[in-house]
Amino acid sequence: MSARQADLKSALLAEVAKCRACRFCVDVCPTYQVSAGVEALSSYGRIQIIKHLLMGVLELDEGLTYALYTCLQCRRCENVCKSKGQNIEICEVIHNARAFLAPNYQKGGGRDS
Amino acid sequence: MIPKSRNLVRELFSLMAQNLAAGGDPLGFRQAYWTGWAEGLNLPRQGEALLFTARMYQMLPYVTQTTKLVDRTRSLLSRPALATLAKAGNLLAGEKILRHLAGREQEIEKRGRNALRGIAAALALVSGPPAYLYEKEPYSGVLLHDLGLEDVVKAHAEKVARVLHEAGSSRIMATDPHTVYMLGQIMPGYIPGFKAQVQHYTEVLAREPQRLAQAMGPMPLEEVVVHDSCQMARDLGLVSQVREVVQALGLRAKEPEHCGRDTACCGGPIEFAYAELSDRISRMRAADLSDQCKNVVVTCPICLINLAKHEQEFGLRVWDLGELLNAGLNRPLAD
Repeated sequence: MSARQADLKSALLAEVAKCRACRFCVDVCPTYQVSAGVEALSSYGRIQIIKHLLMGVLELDEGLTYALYTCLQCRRCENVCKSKGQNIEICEVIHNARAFLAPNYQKGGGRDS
Repeated sequence: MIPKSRNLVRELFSLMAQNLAAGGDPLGFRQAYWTGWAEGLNLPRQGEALLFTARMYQMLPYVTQTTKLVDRTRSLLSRPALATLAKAGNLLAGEKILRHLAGREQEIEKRGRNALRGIAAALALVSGPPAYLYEKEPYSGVLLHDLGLEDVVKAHAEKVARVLHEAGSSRIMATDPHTVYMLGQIMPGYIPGFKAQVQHYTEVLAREPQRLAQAMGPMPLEEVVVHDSCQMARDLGLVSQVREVVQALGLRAKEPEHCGRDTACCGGPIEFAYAELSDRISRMRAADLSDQCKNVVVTCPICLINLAKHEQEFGLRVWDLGELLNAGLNRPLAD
């Protein structure tokens, strides 16, 4: 892992650690709203997926890839997070996680291959 | 059932990076397909204020067809061996095929063209004829940034910065919010020292509502419900401007339940890979909007194509604000 990747990982873990699991962001997430209550397809679910991927508890598979790349980056969850006083940059976290994981999906890279 | 995604994402990343290198945008065409809307307008190629489309409206017919192709070839793209065959067979990347198929999307092509002509006419009215880069105009790279392809975007951002520097304009008036966000907030992270005074065109128009109102001809409707794009409202904080322009057009602006900073997404950002999920989200939003009014106004090309998919089902007409400007300033509606 490069120094830049290591910095990105630390920053991501610090940001996701701020989540107090209040779940107020879940109901406003459009992908959750149309997915029959699958929490992995909500902003909170994605935060937990990222946390556990970074900690090595989960491995990147088909379902987790789907959850991460279906985020619309619409920031509606952040409005709620802010109003509840936590103010986590949820879409920034998901974007940075995509950037961190991008080598898995690019030719010649691949921590999962 | 969760769709298989790993290989799909891998193949789409590879295709988009390849297309960006070949043609400067996610389509990868070698011929300039994005200048036709400006035919006959004689916009100057240089000037203090630059009209910047970033090819977004012009891509719409091709995006519609590409999305259909990805959806049709999803099962192939989800499997490594078959994905190579799909690409080799030009199912996805064939310029000729896509150009041919996009020819079927005449309605969306016309709406995009009218929107740009309306925006250009309105900007010319309030701040003089804008400059336009024609075939030199680059794509901003925003979709690849959203996907986290930072190394690919960095190389592209350097080209965009160079073109804009050579253009020499002191301000940029972008026709869509994704480009405003990319140039104003994201590019400086890729290009240290990059600084552009970039605005969404509604910011410019909202400063001169009376001039706009005086020049405006009759509208084809009386009231509209405003759909705020996520990027406009939450990233750029632009909520009042579109309403001020709508009022200047002599229209009543109605509000859906979720509006302004609480707006609901059109589903567009994931359409490139997950058309079915995107469609469910855009349908939900179209239903909300149709409860208020059957005429919807949008200020983003992505919102336009995604909400327009549900026009028939809900009896809606989704108008880009630029189309309404075109109807009022370039009447009759230019074909």
